[in-house]
Amino acid sequence: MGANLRLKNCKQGREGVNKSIMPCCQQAGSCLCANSHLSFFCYNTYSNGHQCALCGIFCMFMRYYTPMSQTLLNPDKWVDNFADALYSYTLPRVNDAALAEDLVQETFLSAWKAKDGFKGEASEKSWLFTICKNKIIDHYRKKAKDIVQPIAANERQDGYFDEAEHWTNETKPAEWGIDYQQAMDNKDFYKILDACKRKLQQIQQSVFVMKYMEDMDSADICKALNITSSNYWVLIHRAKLQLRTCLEKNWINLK
Amino acid sequence: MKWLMITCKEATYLISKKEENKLTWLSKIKLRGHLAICSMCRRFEQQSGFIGRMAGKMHIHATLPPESKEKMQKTLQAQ
Repeated sequence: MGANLRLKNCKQGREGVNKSIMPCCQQAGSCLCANSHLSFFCYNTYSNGHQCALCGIFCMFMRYYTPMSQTLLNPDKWVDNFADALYSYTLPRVNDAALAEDLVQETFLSAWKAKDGFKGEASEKSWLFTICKNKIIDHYRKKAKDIVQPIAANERQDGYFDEAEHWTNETKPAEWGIDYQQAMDNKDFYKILDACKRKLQQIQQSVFVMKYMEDMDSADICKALNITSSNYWVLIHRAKLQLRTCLEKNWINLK
Repeated sequence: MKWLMITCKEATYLISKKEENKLTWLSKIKLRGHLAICSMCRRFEQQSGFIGRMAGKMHIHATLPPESKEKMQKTLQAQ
């Protein structure tokens, strides 16, 4: 009986087991059973779902090096599942519907090309978002080359402060009457913040998005946009002043 | 004491730096001194932090038109 029965069991086991408990075998070819069978090794069920000793041990070995939650990519479903999410993510960061669409498209294409390199450390979704994020930063990097805008580091008059560099009566911060520590989930606020962001200069927008929306490090931003760190601080400072004033004008008064 | 005094413009500049923990100890003292006496800049600091946090959370729900999705799907399949 021996070998034959064991072989039969092993085959059934191989086809019948739930794939989710054998993550390392989801990739075709990584399971030794898939191609050739050595009945001698077919024995009983291993803790990781294999019925073949060779596969079981191989699987244990693979698991040691690959995370449990290894996921499979599903490129056919990408557009259905993630296109809108990626688009919603990209749009407020680039302010241009057509461009956002292109970036999402490029994200999918790059992901497609890189899909063999997907190791499964992250979920499919966060992997796609990482690619998308890099596309957005690349876009800013390219754009920074086109913007030839002198950044005056010591511009004295900017309208927010008087000669003594104190707040003027028109620009001094008013009380907003909200809890600043509390996050606010208000669609109107986001809309106005987005509109105010669009009014910033191109380069200020780039800096603002990279800093606050992409949460990049200031050194990386300077490198990507090819600006000095003092320029960076001036840009952030101005963007903040302008955004604050704009928000105060449009949102607080509306409340 | 004049060297310790900063203007509101400088203070607001330092506030942005402070948010990234890039202040030198001298600037820290200067800023703290200014914030102790200037309520406007204290308010600015709160609002500035608020704007930064909100920008990080900004989410605008948008959907792609179906034609563009179809186009994407085709381009992907052509690969």
